[in-house]
Amino acid sequence: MNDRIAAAVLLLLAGYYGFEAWRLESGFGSGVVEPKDFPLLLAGALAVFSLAIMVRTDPDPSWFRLPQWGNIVLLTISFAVYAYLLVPAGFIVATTLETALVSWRFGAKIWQALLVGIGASLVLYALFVFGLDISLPVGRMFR
Amino acid sequence: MDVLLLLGQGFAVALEPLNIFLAFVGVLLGTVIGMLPGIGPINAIAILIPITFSLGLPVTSAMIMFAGIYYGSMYGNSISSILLNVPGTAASVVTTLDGFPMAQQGRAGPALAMSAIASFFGGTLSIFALIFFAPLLARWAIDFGPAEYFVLMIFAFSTLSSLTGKNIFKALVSAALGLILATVGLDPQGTTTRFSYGQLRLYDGMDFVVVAIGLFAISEVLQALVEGGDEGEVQTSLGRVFISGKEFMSSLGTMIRSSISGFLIGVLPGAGATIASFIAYTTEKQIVDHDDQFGKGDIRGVAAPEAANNAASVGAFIPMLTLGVPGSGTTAVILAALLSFGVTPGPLLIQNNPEIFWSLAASMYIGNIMLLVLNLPLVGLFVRILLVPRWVLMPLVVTLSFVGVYAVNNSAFDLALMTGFGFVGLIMRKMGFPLAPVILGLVLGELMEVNLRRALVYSRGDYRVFFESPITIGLWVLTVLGLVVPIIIRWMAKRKRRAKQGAAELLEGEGE
Repeated sequence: MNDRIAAAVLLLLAGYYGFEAWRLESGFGSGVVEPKDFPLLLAGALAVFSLAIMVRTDPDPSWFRLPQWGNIVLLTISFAVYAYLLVPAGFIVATTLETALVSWRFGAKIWQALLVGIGASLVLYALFVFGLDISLPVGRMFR
Repeated sequence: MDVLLLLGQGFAVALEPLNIFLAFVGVLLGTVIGMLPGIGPINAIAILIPITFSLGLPVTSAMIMFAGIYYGSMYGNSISSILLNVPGTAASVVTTLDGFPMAQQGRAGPALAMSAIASFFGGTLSIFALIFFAPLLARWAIDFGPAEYFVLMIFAFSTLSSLTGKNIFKALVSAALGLILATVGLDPQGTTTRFSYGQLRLYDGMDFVVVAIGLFAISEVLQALVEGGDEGEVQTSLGRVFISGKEFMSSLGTMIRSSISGFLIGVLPGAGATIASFIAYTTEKQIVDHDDQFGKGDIRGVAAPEAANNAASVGAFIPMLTLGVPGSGTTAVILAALLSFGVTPGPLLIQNNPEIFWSLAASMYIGNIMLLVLNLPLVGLFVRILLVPRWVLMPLVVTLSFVGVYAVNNSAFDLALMTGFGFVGLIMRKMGFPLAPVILGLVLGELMEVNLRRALVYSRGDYRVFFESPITIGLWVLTVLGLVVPIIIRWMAKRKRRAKQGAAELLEGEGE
């Protein structure tokens, strides 16, 4: 059943991608092969392979349980937040928090997690900024 | 004696202090990364690409380090196979079959020693073959036209798809998704922007590193989070890490045969070290295992896959360097690195940039000697790394992934995109869609479109151009065989009522 759903989603994707490709205007001097041709070919291939999956399904995998989903969603969101927090909060603060959070979800005690976070952010900051001469954001709030 | 001269020049470059240092860093990292389950060479190299780039390392030096990570991981991956019964990368899955029983019988030392020696054997033997075959293949491939290249890439996708994962159609979907990702951004002619949705960051295409790190490293961490670890007793007392002359002689034939077959499989576009190790093991079982000792702690069962996967990791450089068509996830990442340095691999690489090829080959000798030292007398030190808890390791992988990408691109959007790919990668893993074909598709997409275009412009839109030359016809035949034969083999294996149960399940081919 899972595979059927996946195949349906992929078919929709192939259709959408194909449609978007089909709408592409070619630039000046369109030749034998236009910018939409290769994408159209791929949309067709994806559709064929998805149909094959629809027909030849595998048994369903055992899905994550609810608490596992909780962990996954928590970390995924935290990654995205971290991405946008880096510049305003600065590398050291943002990285300490993020690393500590991941460490904690992997089973560290809070103090251990904080230690990992502080250690990782300081060592990496020193390594990148002083060792490799690659600049990292200091943080808007420290300016 | 042209070859000796060129190799000599290669050694001169490889022996420069910076390059020796980077070869050492590479093989050291490779050993550690190969050993740690869940972190493979793909992650490591992808994370290092932006860093090496912003450091302004010369391309040859970067290649020496990346190659070191790849073949170094083929040494390290057996350590956890033997001691923990958990393969460090997919290429050492079969090593667990005899390696772990040996450890249980208190013979961890000889198993580790055999693995290091067989790795060295397979590695160095195939460097000879690399030096001999790569220039030959390049000379032959110089006649390849765009049509030949296009079909060659289709062949690579079909072999990779038929050999990774259980469901061939899922692998093909993965490949198609990778190619679709490659079409984002300005089209190769530079006239039309495709699928960018006004995102400026997408105009010059999906950043390969962002996709690779997201799909492999981030999703790996998310998966590790839910699957739980195999923490627990790690045997750190290994006994004496060596093998007797008798054990060596008993495995010599196995090592030679496995090195040759491993190398040849590695050269095949689409098949890499995982498949090589699996085939070497089953072959040796047929040839030398007369009293049914394989699987119960036979030292030859360690020698076969370890010689083969190292030989394959060297062989895999041949299609990547001489044709520009990589055979595995890792070589695809290395190809992407080359491209980002502005070097286009292909038949002309050895001619136009001989220093890259010959220094790389020379550095492989040096690297293998370093690895032998690291893995024989010093293996006891490495084993302690397995004691580092996951709550230290996994956060570090995450942080390094993000910092590496951010330091170069300075873009929060890229990091968010990477996170998205991490989540998608997790779902794909769960649903049995292999990830290596995505990477291959992303790397080859543009090249494939360019060659399709060129071939058709040349023939004025006549599609028969793809079926005309003997090379294209030969490749089509191989493609069809590559897709059909594994299905027949699996079908026959099923009819045999799972004589070798789980054989197909061993072919995951992901961490490579």
